[in-house]
Amino acid sequence: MAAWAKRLAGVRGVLLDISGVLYDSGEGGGTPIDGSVEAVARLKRSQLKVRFCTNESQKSRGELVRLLRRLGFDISEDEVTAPAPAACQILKERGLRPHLLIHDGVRPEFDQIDTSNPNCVVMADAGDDFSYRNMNQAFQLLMELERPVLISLGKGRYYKETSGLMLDVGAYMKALEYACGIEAEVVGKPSPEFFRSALQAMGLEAHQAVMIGDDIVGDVGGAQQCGMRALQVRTGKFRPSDEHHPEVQADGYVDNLAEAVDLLLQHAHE
Amino acid sequence: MAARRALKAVLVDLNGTLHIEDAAVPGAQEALKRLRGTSVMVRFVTNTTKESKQDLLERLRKLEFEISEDEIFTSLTAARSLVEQKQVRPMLLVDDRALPDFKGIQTNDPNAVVIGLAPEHFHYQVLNQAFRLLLDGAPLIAIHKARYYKRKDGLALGPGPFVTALEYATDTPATVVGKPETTFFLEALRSTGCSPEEAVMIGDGNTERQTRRKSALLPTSLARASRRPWITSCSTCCEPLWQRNREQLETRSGWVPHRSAPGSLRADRVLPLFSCALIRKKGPTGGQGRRSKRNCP
Repeated sequence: MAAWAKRLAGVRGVLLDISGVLYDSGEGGGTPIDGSVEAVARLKRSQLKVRFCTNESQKSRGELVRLLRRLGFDISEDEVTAPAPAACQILKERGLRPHLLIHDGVRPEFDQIDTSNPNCVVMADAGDDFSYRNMNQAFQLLMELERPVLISLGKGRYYKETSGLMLDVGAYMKALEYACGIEAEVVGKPSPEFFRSALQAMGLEAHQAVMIGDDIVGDVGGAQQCGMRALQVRTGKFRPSDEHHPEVQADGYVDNLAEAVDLLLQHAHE
Repeated sequence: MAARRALKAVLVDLNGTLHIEDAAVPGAQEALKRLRGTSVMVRFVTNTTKESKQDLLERLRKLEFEISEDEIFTSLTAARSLVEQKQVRPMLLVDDRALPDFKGIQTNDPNAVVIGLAPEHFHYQVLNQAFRLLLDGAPLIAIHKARYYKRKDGLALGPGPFVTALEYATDTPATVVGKPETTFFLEALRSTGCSPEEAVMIGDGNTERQTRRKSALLPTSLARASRRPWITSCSTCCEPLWQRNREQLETRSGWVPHRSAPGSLRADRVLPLFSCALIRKKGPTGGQGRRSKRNCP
C-alpha cells in the first residue's frame, strides 16, 4: 500500500473531475472508465460527501448528466459544478453581453443571457466550431472594444477522447490573448473561485476535501492552491511525464478512480 | 571610431521598401541601380508566408527591379533550410501558393510541423492533427509569429496566434524562422560571406521596431552584434527612428545623409537617400558620387 495514503486522513468530501476520471468522451457519447461506475456508487454509499467539478464546456449540464446516467453513473444535475452557469452569473453581475464562441451543445446554458450588441467574448470548448472564421470574428470584436473582456470557460491544454487527445479551449484562449495582447479571465478550474464555489455547495472547508482529476495542472495544481488535497488518476489525459511535473506534485497517484476510492474508504476516517 | 568597418553587404526589405503591394516605391528602381553600381553585395529579405520566391520575382520584375532568384531570402527559404538541416518530413500548414518553395521535400508520414499563414488549414481537426504530432516529439517550425494582418475587410488573425495555441497545448516553444529572428539575418547573410558588422539592413518600420525590441532581449541578436545603423523607411511611424538613425549614421559610421534630408521621411525617400549617402562616402568613384549627389531627393 502506498505510504502517502495516510495523507487522506480526515477527508470528509470528494470533488470528482468528470472527463477522464468517470468516462472518456467520444463517438456515441463515450465510454465509462473501468471501475468508475461502481466507484462512484461506493462513494455515495459512504459517509463522504461527493460533488462533481468539471470544466466540461461543450455540453450543457443537463446533457452531460443525461449522458452519464445512460453510462450507468449515479449523478444528478444539482451535484455538478460547471463553468457555464458560473460564467452566466458573472455576465449578469457585470452587465456584460457576450459574443459566444461556443459549441451548440452548451448554448442552452446561455438562454437567459442578452447577446445583442456584444461587449465581451465568452469562449468555451467549441470543438469543430473553432474554425478560422469563428476565431477571426471573436478577434475582430475584441479589437473593436475599448476595454476588451475575454472570458474563457477553463484553460485546459487538451483532453482525452476515445480517438485520442484533443486540443482544449486553453489553446484557443492563448491564441486570442496573443492576437489581441490581452489576458483572459478564466472561469472554471484552476480558478480558486470555482473550487471555492464547489466547496461551498458541499459545506466543507478546503482542508476537509480531496480533488480527484486527470489534469495535473488544472485539477491537482488548482485544488492544492486552494488548500485542498489532490490525487491524479492514471486515466484520461494522464501522461507518465505528469508524475515528474516541474511545478505540481499530487498528494498521490492512482491507477484509476476505483483505486482512489479504495484508499479513501480505508484511510479517510483515520 | 571602433565601429568603423567597411560595408560589404546590404539587406533590403521588399514590401514597404522596394514596393508597396503592387506598386514600386517611387525612385526605388533607380536607387537599386545605383547600389548595384557599388561594390556592396545586395540581398533581398522578406517575411512572406504565401508568396513563393517565383511569385515575388515575377512581381519585382514587373515593377522593373533587376533582381535574381538567388538574391532573395524569405522566411519560407529559412523554413526550408531548417527542414533540410533537421532532416524531417513536415506537415505543411502553409498557403498553397507557398508550396513551390518546398518542392522536393518529403511530406509523407510527417514528423514535423511547419506553420505559416494558412487560414484554410486553421481548422480544429487539422490543428489537432498537428498538435498530436507535436506531442509525439515533432518539432514546430513557425515561418513567423505575426499577430494579425490587414485584409480588405479588416484585421485578420495571422499565424502567431495559432503557433501560440500549439505552443501552449504542447508546452513546447516553436522555432521561429522569419524576421526579426537573429538566425534569419545570419542565414540571409551567409551567401555573402559577410559578418553582421559588415552589413546594413534597410527595412520598414515594423521590422525595425521588432528587431529593436528583440535585440533588447537578446544580446546576441544581429541588431546588437552589428554596429551598423538600421535604416527604416516606414512612412507612418518612423520619424523618431529616422532621427536616431541619422545620428548613428553620422556618429558611428561616418556616413552623412544628404543635407537636404527632410526631418520626416516618406517611404519613397529612404532607399534613394541611403544609396546616395553610401555612394558619396563609400562609392567606388568620385564621379558617381557627384552624380548621385545631384540626383538625390
